[in-house]
Amino acid sequence: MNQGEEEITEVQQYEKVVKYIVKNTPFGQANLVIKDLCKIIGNINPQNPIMLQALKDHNEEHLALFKGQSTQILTSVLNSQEDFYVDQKNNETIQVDHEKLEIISRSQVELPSEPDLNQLRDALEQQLNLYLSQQFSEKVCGAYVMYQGDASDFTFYLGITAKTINLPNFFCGSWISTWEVTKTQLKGDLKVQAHYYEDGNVQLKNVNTFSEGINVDLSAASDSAKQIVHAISKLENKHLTGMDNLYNSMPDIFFKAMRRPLPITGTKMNWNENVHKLVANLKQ
Amino acid sequence: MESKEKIHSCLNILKRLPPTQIQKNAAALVSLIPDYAEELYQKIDKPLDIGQDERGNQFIQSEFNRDGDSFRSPQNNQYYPPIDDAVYPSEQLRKLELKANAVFDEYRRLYYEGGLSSCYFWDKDDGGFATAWLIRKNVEKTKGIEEGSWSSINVIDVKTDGKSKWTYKITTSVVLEMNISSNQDVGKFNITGTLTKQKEESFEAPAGGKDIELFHIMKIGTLVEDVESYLRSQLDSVYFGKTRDIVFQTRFSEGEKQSIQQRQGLAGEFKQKYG
Repeated sequence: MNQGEEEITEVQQYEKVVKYIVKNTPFGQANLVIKDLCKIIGNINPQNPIMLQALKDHNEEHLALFKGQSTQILTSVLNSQEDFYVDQKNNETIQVDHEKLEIISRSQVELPSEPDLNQLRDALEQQLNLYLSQQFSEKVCGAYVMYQGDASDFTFYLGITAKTINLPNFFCGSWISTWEVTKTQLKGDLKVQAHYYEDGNVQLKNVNTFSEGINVDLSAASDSAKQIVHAISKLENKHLTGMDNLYNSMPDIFFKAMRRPLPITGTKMNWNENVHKLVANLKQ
Repeated sequence: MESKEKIHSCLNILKRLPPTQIQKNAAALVSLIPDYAEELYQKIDKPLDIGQDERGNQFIQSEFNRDGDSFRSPQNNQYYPPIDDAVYPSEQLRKLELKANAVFDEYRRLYYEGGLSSCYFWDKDDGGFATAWLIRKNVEKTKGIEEGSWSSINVIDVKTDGKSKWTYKITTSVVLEMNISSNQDVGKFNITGTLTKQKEESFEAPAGGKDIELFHIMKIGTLVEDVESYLRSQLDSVYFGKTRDIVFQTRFSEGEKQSIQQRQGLAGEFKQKYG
């Protein structure tokens, strides 16, 4: 085995570890983590296929937003192919740079298309953008709508996300919700994460699932879209209110059960007195 | 030094990974630098484990009382499971250790009203010594909390100038875990994390070296009390306050964005009119 082959084998050993670590990194910090991984492993750089694949998986799991000159796309497992992403609405395949979160190129492609479903998709996109503008911070937020199937049997996939990334002040957060809509049902998964790491590492991880009956009428695309996005926004608002209530009540409940700010006497411990008393007891 | 850089990178990564998985995270990184495993594990803050002796007396298991896979009890100075050729504190230090445990137990009772405390001492080559004062407290299932725990890790490095001046350098980490019971409105909710603080102080010991052991315990104890109290107040604002702020600036409550925009609009108008 020559030198080059030996190195490749060693790196493949690290693949599992790299995947695990990058997958569990909060969104906004993956590039930094990959740099540190390269330092630890040695003789490897962030453009190595193993690092790039781990970064790709990380971006898809977090619905990363990629920007181009006149367009943008959210990436997820759903629209991911090996080398590109599928933009169903614009009939394009899109190539991206995962490190810079930029669109590199686009090509026209012919995709199966259902006119009835297209109408609803476009209406949903409109409603989602309205929802985003009302409830989310503009900084990094986006949504996608895709569908599978045909007018008689369809599933729409919606994704909504917003991220807060403030590395100079040591914090990041993300809100990621994914939804499935059929003729009669709305199902969703929500992941909320917050990470603060000045002088430490404190993380919030919150997951919730939703399920609700609805009635989708393809012939009334605009109304159906409003109904669906309204249902989503209500569920998400309710979740947020629940978080607010928890945050209001928890500190008291949790910290009271943990450690008092002062002993019940109201004064700090008298070390001098206690040291002499207790050590004397020991001798006996 | 290359190893220092690699360990530094590992610690950087650990700061970003979910603290609920600290064991798994540490094991993953250690598999990349197996030669530095010991060094890395010593620098990691994680919830403290509890062991017990043959009579069922509990004590805290940590890096500071570990030798191989065994842990030393502060009560009887024995390792569990038993091993030959283990590391023990010197006789003098062991006496100090017994006294410290008795006093620290009272501190635990006053501030924690429960939980478990342990102190471990070890000799150092420079004539000084080091000690770890540890507390673990669990919160029982209560009012919506599924599980919760607090682990204090106070590590104090003690040096002398050879005469009567003693310098105490403390590094305290508090590791908190809180799991909320599966809740209709919110689903599964977990906040876990570590906060760390360091402090250093020097004192002149009483003349003649009299009661130097009691002196050490008082000085170390006071430092531990100060830093732990500080971290407890920080934890409230960081653990809860900060994570809350991050969420609510990512996704606004109903109507909040409108009212922010309204206020900004009014401020703009005001500026135009009177500015």
